[in-house]
This record gives sequence, structure tokens and C-alpha cells, in this order.
Amino acid sequence: MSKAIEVDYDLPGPPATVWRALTDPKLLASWLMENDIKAEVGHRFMFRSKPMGDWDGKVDCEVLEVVPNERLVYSWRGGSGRHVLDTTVTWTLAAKPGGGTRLRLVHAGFTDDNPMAYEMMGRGWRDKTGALAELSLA
Amino acid sequence: MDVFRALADPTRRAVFEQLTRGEATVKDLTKRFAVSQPAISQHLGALRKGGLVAERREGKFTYYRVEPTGLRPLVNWIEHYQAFWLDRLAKLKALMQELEDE
Repeated sequence: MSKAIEVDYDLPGPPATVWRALTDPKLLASWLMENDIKAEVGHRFMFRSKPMGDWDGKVDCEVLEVVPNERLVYSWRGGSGRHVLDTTVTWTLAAKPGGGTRLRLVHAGFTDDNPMAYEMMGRGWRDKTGALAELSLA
Repeated sequence: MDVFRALADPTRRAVFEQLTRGEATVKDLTKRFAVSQPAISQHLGALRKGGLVAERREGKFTYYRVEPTGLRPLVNWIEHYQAFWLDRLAKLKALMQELEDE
């Protein structure tokens, strides 16, 4: 089963400016992370950040779809192991009637059923990580 | 060493699974697995660095047990990213305001 994060966000400025903030490496770095993005289908790039907790601070990406000022899709693999977090990020931009841009973010492909987590977790683990005694491993 | 790398090795995973059944010493584990004592110690070290295993000393023995919250990172990505994106979108909004003022 796969889950997604969906966020609609209203921003000042026209879609063309938001597009710059999404695709210009310098601008993108100022609000997201250091990167070497290029708005070209097939371009592979990486986001880099400080390691944080369990996350090594790196995200591997590949541009999958580009519709200038409207839609940008890239894969988002990383976290602590590329097989564990294999997701896609989709940005959709739409001009708002009164000015400004509605930006929609869909971060999709989160999955509960990565084999390793499943193998290691008995039922109920997810809700009660503290209750190890109830954990049964076949 | 993160959780995923800590569990990538089959023997290490087996050691971890064994510990979910109860505390054990290096000696107990060596008996159980056809692996040398230094190898078991090395696996335990990796599991400890990955936050999956904790240790307790009693007399001359060290007992190892699983760390209950260790597997959390495997399942909490979605929560992590929900908070992450909201934080970053707020930054994007601030940037957009700056660009508009230019």
C-alpha cells in the first residue's frame, strides 16, 4: 500500500517566478536544500543537507516530467537507503485569479510494505513501538 | 551507521531477531550462530551504532537487548516529510515575498 503527502499552498507572485524558485539551483537551495537541479527530463541530481537523525542528508533525484511554469516531477530516493524511500515529488503550479500562485505538492510512493520493515515487525508494532514483548517474529 | 545499513547484513539481522526474544551476552549469541565471537561483537557494535541495540553491564558480562524505538525510522518517513514540507513551503513563501519586493 502506498501513501502520499498532498499540500496546496498559496504563494505570492506569478507561476513563472515560482517556477524559478523550483528550478533555479540557487533559488531552490535557499528554501529547500543544496542541489544541482536542471529542468530537463532525464537529468539526475542530488539534494544535499546536513545529516539529521537517521537521515544521511542526501536525496537522489531524476527529473521525470517538465512542463515549464506548470508541472515538474522528479523521483526522490534516499533517506537512509535508496530501497527504503523510493518516492516521487510532483509540483503543479496554477495562476490564481486575483494574482499569486497555487502550488500543489504531491509527494507520493511512501510504502508500509518495504520487505525489511515487514520482516522485522510483528503486527501492532507500528502503533506500539515500545511494546517489544508483543512482537512476534515467525 | 543508520538503521538500514545496520540491518542490511543477514547475520546481523538474525542477531537482532534473536535479541527481540530476550537479552543475551556475546557468548550466548556465539553459541547460537556459527560465527566467531569477534564477528558477533562486531555485529553488535553495528547494531548499537544504528540505535537498534542497547547494552548493560553486570559483573563481567555485558548483556545486549533491542532498543524498542530503534525501528521507528523505518515507518515514520511520511510523518517526517509532512513536517519537512510544511517547514520548507513556509520558507518558499518568504522567498517569494522577497522576489516580489525586488
